[in-house]
Amino acid sequence: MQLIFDILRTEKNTGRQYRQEIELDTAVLGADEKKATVATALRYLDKSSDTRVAWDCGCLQRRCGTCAMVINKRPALACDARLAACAKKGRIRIEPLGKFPVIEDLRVDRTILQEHLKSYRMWQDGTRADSAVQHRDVVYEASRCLQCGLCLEVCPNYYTGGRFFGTATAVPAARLFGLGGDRRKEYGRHVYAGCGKSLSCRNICPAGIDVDALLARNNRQLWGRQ
Amino acid sequence: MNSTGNDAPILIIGAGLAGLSAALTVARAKRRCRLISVAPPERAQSVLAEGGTNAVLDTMGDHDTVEEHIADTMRGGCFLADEKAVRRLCETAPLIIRDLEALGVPFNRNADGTIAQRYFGGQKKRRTAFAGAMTGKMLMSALIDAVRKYEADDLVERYDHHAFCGLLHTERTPDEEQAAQGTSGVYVQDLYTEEMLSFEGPVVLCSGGLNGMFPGHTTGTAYNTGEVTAIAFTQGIRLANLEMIQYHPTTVAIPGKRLLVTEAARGEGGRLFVEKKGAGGEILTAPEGRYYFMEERYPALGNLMPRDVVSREIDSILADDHYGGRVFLDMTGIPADVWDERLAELREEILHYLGPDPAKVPVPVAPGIHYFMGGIDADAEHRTSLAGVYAAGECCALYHGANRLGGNSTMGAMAGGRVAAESAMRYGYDIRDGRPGALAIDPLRQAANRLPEPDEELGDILREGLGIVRNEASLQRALRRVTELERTRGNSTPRILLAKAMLKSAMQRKESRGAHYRGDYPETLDACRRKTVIYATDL
Repeated sequence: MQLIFDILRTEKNTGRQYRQEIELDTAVLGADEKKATVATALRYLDKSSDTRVAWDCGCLQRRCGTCAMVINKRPALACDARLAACAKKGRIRIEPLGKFPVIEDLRVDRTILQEHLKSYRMWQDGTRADSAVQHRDVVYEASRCLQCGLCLEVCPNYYTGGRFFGTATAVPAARLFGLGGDRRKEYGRHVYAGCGKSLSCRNICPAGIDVDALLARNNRQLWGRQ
Repeated sequence: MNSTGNDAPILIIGAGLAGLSAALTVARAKRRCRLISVAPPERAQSVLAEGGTNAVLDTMGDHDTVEEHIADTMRGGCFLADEKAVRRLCETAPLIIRDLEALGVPFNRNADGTIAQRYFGGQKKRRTAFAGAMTGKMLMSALIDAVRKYEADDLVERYDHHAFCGLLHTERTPDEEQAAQGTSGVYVQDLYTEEMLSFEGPVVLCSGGLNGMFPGHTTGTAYNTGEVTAIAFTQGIRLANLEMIQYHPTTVAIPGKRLLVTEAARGEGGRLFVEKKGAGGEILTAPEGRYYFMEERYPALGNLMPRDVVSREIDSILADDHYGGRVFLDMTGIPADVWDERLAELREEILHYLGPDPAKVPVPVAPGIHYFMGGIDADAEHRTSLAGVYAAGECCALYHGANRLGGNSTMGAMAGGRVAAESAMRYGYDIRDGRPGALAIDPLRQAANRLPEPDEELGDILREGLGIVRNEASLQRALRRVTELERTRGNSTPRILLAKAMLKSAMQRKESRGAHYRGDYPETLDACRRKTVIYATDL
């Protein structure tokens, strides 16, 4: 399969942006060709300084959330995006996530995700082991969040620096509610008040977290209904 | 003289299970630490751990005891592990589980509400606590939250996107009193701004395994380059048991890496088989032609023999002409509720990356590099050979000897991180027992190499030399090729030195023990029952 990668690049020191088109015959990927993802291709391109772009690569199996980027307009993990499935007319356009500061090429600074969780006070205050046992399934589901930021990328309400923290905070919030932590004030202020219920985050989570169910559950918690 | 009086923040390199456990320990003692890692903890390899974590809770009616956990761990490690350290590990494991429970880890439960435990390889009692098939992720999520609380108190200062460039070098003085005022520390570089920083304080290395020595051929993450260990090695730190590399018996090749099929799949009833050949040499693909070799050859533990045994059996049966050349993991007998409750993610992952449903069709598997038992040498208190430098987690050789039991890595990392942090607070920069300080390096030169490109050429050589079965000739050949590589490139990197050290360690052990199997020395010898240690000056 002959592909053209159309990559939005950013120079590290100047911030200058430009597009680079790179042709790749996927046959060079050998045995991996059929199962190859955008991450496979980028790793191949890494081998030559002419085609190497800055990006972050972690586990290559959708568990660590590192390689989030925008692939043919859809935010995805590069290790989750099969070449055959995402190519359109032989082209794959790759851009960095748009809601975070770009460091270089496809590498973005997602530190703000941590800042959100810190200002939300996302930690346990006291032990409610009974609650943890009773709500085990919710705690488990919510604990799977990768903090990759894809849900913020598609959110019409989230913008960087705003008061609304989005689904990347709402999902861990479900864990804390499940564990018996009272963060109703923070939830109201940083999630509930800002969420437009567009549910654009519904099908974007690479971990397949049931975002709807957790949001609905959180909202019930906010209003004191179990 | 007071070597502990220095209250500089503890410098923790790495934010996986070991690093977070260390940070939590320091913060709970109301001391400050800097948590330095190339990526935030959500990206750490620890999130990949699936099957569980070992602790004697005896919730399954098996009459399990701490003594048995110690004995299994020592036996699994073929008596190379530090017994004092292993004893402490097994004694504290149940307390750590209680702590994790209080932090909200959603462990699977028995009907009576107690924590459920499953069978894992090399152990006859159900001792492995687990949270679905994502135990590592669940532990990490809880620990990240726990540490965050102290970030808000400024006791933990996080330096995500910062790479380790080297240990600080301080001149030793002949005056013991003055020397004790000296300090260890680290050079780090901000990967975003490229700014170089140096911090003084006791150092706890929690930088993970040496996956980067075998790029693309391990079950780990690309972040674990092995560079921290390699640089510290060039600065004089002593390494141990480098030849002990665990090949996990059940992995599958996917683009860029090997995907692990957790041991829990066998713990829950998965069975290994090979296809027999018929009279005419044709491969028998029907169920009657299946040879469940582990069950036939090892009736007691069957598919749950220790990993090195299973890997060697698979390796040899794959090469045996009498069989079909492929080994399968048959998980079709696992009940539907077990898939849903305990192995859901594994099933989803196999479906996603391989295709057929493992609940219906056996999955072809082969051994792959999974864990490094060897690494930075440490005493039972996690002190390395360098003053003021401590180590914990997979980068540290201490608990697992010649082979690691499934479920002991996560517990070893969490228990080790705690002890290393306590020692760092207690001893600080302690040279009284004669430990030297780190040798000088040029941190800028290391910075240029901060997140080094995968060295596939070096990895290919190492894989040939350090396969499941080794021998003198192949080790010598690999060493010659590494030296040749060094010469043609005209420079030596820390990883090239580390590669030589790994090969030399494997040559030095002229016996077979645990994960180290020598075709030319198949016997285990009492005389060799000691760890292999190596310094850069030995090369």
